Amino acid sequence: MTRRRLFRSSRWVWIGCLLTAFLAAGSVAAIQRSVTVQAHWRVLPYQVLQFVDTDDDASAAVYIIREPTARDWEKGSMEDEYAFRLRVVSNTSWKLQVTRPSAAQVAVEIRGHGSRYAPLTQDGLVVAAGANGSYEIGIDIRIPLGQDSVPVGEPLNLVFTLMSL
Amino acid sequence: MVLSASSSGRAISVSESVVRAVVPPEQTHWFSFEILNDDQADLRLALRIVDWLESEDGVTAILPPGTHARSAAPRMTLSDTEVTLLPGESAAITISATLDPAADGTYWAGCLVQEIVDSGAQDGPSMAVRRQLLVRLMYTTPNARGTARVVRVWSSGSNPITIHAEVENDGTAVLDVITSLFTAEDTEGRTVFESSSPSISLLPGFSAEISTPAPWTTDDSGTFLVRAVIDFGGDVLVAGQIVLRLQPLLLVPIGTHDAIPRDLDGDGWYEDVDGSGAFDFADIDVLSELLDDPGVVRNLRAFDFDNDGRITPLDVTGLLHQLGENRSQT
Repeated sequence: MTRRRLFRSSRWVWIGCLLTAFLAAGSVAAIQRSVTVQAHWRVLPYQVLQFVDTDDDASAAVYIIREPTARDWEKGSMEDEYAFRLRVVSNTSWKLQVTRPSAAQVAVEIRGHGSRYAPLTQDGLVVAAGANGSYEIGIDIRIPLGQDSVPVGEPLNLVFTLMSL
Repeated sequence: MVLSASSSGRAISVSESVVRAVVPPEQTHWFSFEILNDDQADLRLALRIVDWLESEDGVTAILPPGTHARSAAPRMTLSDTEVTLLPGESAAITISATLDPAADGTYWAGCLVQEIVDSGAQDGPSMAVRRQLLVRLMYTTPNARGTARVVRVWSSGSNPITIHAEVENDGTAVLDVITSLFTAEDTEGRTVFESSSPSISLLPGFSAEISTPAPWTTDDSGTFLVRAVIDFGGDVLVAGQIVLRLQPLLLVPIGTHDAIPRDLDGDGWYEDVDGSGAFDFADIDVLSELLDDPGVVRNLRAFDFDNDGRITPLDVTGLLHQLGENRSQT
């Protein structure tokens, strides 16, 4: 390699180094000029309360109490598992409670399917609770059969209330 | 109750179910949320401002506005009191709240979204079912004071033993996240037990009981320093502690029997009261006749079959219940 050619190639090396340094400096400057953007958002605690219809012809808002059978009379109560099905969708912890708005009605016991029966009162009863997610809740009804028999006339009223914990 | 993914049916949705806002006194806070009718029919809804309070059994009592001292309801307004939504339609509801000039701390109320149902006349007996959603609203002044204290720590039961702590929010602000840690140390300072409990929230002026099962069986004994440490989100932790003394069992034959009582199934209860080697009705008879025998009273933890921490006739009932369960399994 001649001395001139060596000089030329080393000149290109120098130019390359300078360019690299220049670009690197530019990048550093660009980084120093960049702006940090912090994005904040809040997930709103939404809730959905849904009747799950099991029969297309049936209205989920009205539950017809069937006639007690001989076996019901023998047992002393009339029970209907999954009398209602409700779905709760919530992205926060929730509970579902049930109350009866008026007192002067026939005794009714109620539970979330799988738990213990408790009397339906005006004070209310928590029938289900959970963390965030989508849940289907079966509601069981038991009506003790006694001297008052089953209710007639005005329908019994049940109110399901969904709320955050 | 099962986790569900599908969504066929009729639904009411609210876009926000709980609101926590910092509001200076006399300033008005505006809040809007949406209600969506996901039903296939028209949906009539009534809206009203209500008060709510938590009861000890976990039920939220929904009360008329202005029922309690920290009610925000009297100074709140609602944009609509009734809406009718077509299928798929939504409505925005606006609530304003202005705290009293002397307000200090957290004030709360709720917006109750009630379904109006026309159940109609039915031929036979029926139940009308109505849905409602409670949107909780909590307003806290900037100067609110968040503090808590441990009112007391105690243990209950014999087998298992449960440790309890009563925590009170003695400040003026709602405490949204209260976490607790229960620990126990033996007389040499070694930690023998540590347990945390799920977080709770506590409104000002209210208290709650937090409990955790302890690991000791009736065969364990010793003196332990049991401590409940509460983190309410402030700069300090609050704690309460007790000394728990577990006397060793010193079993002796009960009454005129020759053998000492035995725990035949290793559950910590000494169901073979007469020491015959079998669990039968003779054990029920012995316990019911000799409830005040020193051998029973001195070894309370072995014979506390109803786990109430005392020897009473209910322990005979508890033992009878265990016998019934035992026989049904065999």
